[in-house]
Amino acid sequence: MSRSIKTVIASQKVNMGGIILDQPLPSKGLDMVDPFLLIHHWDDQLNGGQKQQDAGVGPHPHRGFTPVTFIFKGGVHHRDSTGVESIIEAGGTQWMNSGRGIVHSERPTKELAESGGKFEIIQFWVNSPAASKFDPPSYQPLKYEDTPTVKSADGLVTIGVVAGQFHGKTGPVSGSSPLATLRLEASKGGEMSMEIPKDYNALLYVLDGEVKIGDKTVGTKDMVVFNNDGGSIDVSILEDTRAIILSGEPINEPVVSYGPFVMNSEQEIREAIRDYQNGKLGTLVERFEG
Amino acid sequence: MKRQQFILNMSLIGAASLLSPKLLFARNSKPIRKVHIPLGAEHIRHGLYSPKQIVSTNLPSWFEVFERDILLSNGHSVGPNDLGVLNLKVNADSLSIFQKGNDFSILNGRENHDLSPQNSVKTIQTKTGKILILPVGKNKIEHPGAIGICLKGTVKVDSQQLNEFDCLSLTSEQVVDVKQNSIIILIQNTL
Repeated sequence: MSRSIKTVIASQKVNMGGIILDQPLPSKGLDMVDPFLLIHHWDDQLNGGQKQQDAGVGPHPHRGFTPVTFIFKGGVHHRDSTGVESIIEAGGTQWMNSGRGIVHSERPTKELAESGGKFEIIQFWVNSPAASKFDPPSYQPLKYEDTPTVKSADGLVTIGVVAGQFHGKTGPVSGSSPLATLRLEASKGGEMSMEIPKDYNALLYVLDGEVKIGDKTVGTKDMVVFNNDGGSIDVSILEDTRAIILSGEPINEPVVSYGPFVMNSEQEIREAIRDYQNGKLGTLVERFEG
Repeated sequence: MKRQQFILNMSLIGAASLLSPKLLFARNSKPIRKVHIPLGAEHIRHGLYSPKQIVSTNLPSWFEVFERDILLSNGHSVGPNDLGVLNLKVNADSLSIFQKGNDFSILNGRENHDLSPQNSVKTIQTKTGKILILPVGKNKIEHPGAIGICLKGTVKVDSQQLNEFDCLSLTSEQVVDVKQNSIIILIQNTL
């Protein structure tokens, strides 16, 4: 049986330190789709003429969850307080479990900052269960070719399996809780019935394009949240479409989220803030060429 | 005539200073200079949380203060449960002051201490310092070198008015007048 739509939410523009992003989650009336806490869509034309150190998001901390970045256009240069430095280009993924604490920066590549060009990423956050919130931080980069794909019977819909299991393929990343995170690219006229475990919460976010789900048409920068009333998500592609599909077993624990921290209580948030200030989440001194 | 009057006035001031060392001290002491702690940013979920230190020659080397931040509780817009954060360092020991609505508290170790004024001075001992919360009304205090931070309302230190999130380094014996519904904390270096 195909899942029905619980709600469709249009993204709102938010300002993150001067960077304008589309944010469908959280939004008014919807704090999270357990275990997913946030979706940020950054779609930009960089003008160039910038030093890399002046572009993107500088050092900042995280604790208690996993921020994941899907790169669609351009490249992201990741640096973190554990000493990792990595560049991932379009089609790839940066999967970072912040665990007990990490400080990282996320910037367009040096070439992109200097020469300009298209830059498009989605970052989403996956909550960690209380038992995993103080795991050691880790970072897993994936290139385009590391991500297995599944095609629809008509060959018009391609699904990249980043984490979890989907139609017999297993993504290279394992989360802190059971989930399946997918990238969808589809041409007009395509159709696919995507199997999602019944007990997983699920959402679909459209980067651009138009799809039909049930009797609803969903367009660019809309997020669809599904009811848990079926074992598949059925889509018909009305226009060439790029989307992500996030599904996961709900953690069902108290969640307190402030700024860059996601914990189970406000006291833990306060301690995270103080620990960061004390340097206990690590420190990151970025080094730039030129 | 004017010159004669000027000389007479100066002589009287000089004589008064000799008779009252306190007046002489007051004239020679540095003027009190307050430092305002600005609001850095309101952060949506994720945000770009990285509080910047306020650099001022009016603050002693044992004390660091950072721009304030507000973390939005719903992750996207201002609401009643937003969390204000003010970070301090006393001899490199970090202390975080939190504001929720009209309530202020400080996290010291794993314990949260309410910063509301009581009927008498309330003291919180930290690793390397001491925090005093003064009661409402006029307090005659002598804590030279201590840092006063007005968290709420207005406070007068001698004749100088501190507004919310103004801080200053105290000099000698001073009268701190805490107005109704106002909060000031004094931070002492105990190293």
